[in-house]
Amino acid sequence: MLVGIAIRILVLVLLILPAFLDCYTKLLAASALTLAIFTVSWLYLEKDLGWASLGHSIPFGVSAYLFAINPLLLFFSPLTTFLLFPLSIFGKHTFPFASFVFSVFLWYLAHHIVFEGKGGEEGFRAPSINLDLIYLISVTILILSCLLIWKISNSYFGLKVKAVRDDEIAAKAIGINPLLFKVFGFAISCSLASIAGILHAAIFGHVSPGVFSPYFSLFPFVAATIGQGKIWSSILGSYTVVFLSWFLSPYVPEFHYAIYAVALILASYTQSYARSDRSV
Amino acid sequence: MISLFFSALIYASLALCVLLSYRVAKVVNLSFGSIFTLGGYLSVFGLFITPIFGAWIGLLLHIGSKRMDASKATIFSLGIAIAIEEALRILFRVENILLDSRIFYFFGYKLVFEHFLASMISATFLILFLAFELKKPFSRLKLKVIEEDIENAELYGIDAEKARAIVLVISSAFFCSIGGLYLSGRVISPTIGWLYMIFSLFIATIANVFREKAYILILPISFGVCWLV
Repeated sequence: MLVGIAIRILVLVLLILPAFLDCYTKLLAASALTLAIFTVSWLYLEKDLGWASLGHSIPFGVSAYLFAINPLLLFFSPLTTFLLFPLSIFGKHTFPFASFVFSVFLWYLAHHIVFEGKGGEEGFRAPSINLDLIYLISVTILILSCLLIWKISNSYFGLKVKAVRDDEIAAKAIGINPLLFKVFGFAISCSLASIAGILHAAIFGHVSPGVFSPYFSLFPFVAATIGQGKIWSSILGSYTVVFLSWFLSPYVPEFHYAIYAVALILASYTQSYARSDRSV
Repeated sequence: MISLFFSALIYASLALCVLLSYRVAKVVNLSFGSIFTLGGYLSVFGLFITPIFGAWIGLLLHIGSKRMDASKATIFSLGIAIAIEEALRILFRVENILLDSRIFYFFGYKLVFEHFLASMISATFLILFLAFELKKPFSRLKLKVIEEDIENAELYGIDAEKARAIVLVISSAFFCSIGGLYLSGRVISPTIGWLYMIFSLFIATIANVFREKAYILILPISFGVCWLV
């Protein structure tokens, strides 16, 4: 209980403090913030729906690209749900692998996306927004995302989603349409991941094929593993990965990958995936 | 055309390893890409060490992911893959390395010797496995039972763990040695292996659709995919 309160306070301090610090720290904090939103979106899919995605960079990256190519296209970003959702036909055990492979495929494909002579390996310039403003927007969106997920999770509708997660056949027997609730859950998660992708593009003013790289694909999984699957701890986990990588990168190149390797190996021993094996 | 033929042979043998890991060891081994890259980096010190290191990683994978379900074993293999990549970054510091190669002429075609060697090893591997598949010795039948149902296999007294270990060790050693040869003459980075793994995985997935005939059809599928690409 006390640890939980301490984590919440620490997260709030981490959200507020950078607003008063220098530009570089704020940029770093803003990056951690968008990745925290990304983690929250992933966590909803894993906890409430039971689908552990290792390719969540798909909605994240596609939305960032759409925003960079033409900001008006961001209205299509919720449709990224239909890029990730069809992979659920592989079943819960194969979904992590299928989503990861698809994200790696998009990573290679993104190197060949050229629009009006721009893009390719260098990527696209995204509309840049004032850092203070984008930081404020990001903080607001993170808090709203947490509230939204908490609200949905505890609603009657959320209970139906959890029923589908636990046993699709039993859920169908009591009149719940599993497909509808699965699409709904994926849509919520992918929309939040899309928002995180758009914010990421707006903060850095640039999008490259790297948004589909394993760094982003695995980030929420690693942050959630550090946070032991709890929302506030996972937000703290996101900050931990970003800041540790930044501090240790001069000594160990791309240090975040060392964190990733440890988290993935440990997670395969400790975490449980695919809560329900049955599919309709 | 010769280049296409050689590439198809190599990808078919890599896809065969992926398929064997999936069917016998029950793991979608995502560390194959990094093992392939590791082979490339190790070839700097000598090609003969590549299968040894590959086999060690295969054994590590087997021991680490023993009794895990498919998704956990996949995640474990991904962790190993990233650990290998990070180790390569730390040990070699520089991101990109140009590997040496030897050029020779084959019926008037200019070829990289190491690529030629890789395709010959792949061809031998494929022929040996095809003979094993068609002749159906007792050990192949045991493997088939494991492929169909691992619990049934254990009930019949088949040592599924041993078969799993052998498959993971051989496939990892093969990936590592082919990586050492096939990456010669190229500029390599720690992430280069992903592309080869995804491509082999793609061929293996198509082959897997043909169920019983998968191992026999893997070479024609590889030809088709390489020709299309």
